[in-house]
Amino acid sequence: MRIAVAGKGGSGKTTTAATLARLFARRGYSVTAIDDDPNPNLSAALGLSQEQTSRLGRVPREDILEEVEDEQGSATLRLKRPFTEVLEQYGACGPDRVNVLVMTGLLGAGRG
Amino acid sequence: MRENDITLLDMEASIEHLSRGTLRHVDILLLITEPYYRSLETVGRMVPLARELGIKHIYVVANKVRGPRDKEAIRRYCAERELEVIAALPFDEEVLEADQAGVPVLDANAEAAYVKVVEQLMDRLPAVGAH
Repeated sequence: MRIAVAGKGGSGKTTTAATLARLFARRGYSVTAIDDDPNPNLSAALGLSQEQTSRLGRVPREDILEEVEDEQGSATLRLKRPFTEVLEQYGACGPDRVNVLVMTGLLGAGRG
Repeated sequence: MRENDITLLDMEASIEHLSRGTLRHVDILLLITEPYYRSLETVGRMVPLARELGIKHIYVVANKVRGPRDKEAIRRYCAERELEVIAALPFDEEVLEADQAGVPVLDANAEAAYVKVVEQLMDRLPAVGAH
């Protein structure tokens, strides 16, 4: 299940996304939280240490995504590598075993 | 992706972002808003795009709600646009205090009013199958 959280800056979307992530994990789900905000602070909101947060690498687009055409002929992005591998290389694991990835600007840049 | 997997995406605030990219692979979109006009308008502008992308489950989550008047302002705005408000998260000093202390509110107090309503929100989300 994929859940996106959006809203105006300051609306509390990061706090809400982080709380949801942790609570889902506590209910037994395997949770990956992806920070797509240019001011990434989801990691801190999830409770990862400063040290863990500073080690989080931004995932380089060309390394994991490729643009392909879907059945309707419109461009879509596809993961080039297994997601677990991407997580291992760029992500971190926080409280309640929530995985975190920083992918700023990646997911929206369909025609970049 | 297994049924037991959840991916949570904390999105960029800009709406232009919604018009492109992979958002159409999202099952549920939660639009967080404060009970004042500019915040509601930001969310309101995202909705047509999100619908166009074919996202099936779009919900408004009211946040920092201080009382019935705030709730009513959000309810009215959303009713005019046929939007469902799935939860009204209270304005909660404990969220502010946790934020200032740099800890998740969940770790500061798992019984906080805010956390309780986030749990209710989870219970109301539709069960969406695996991809």
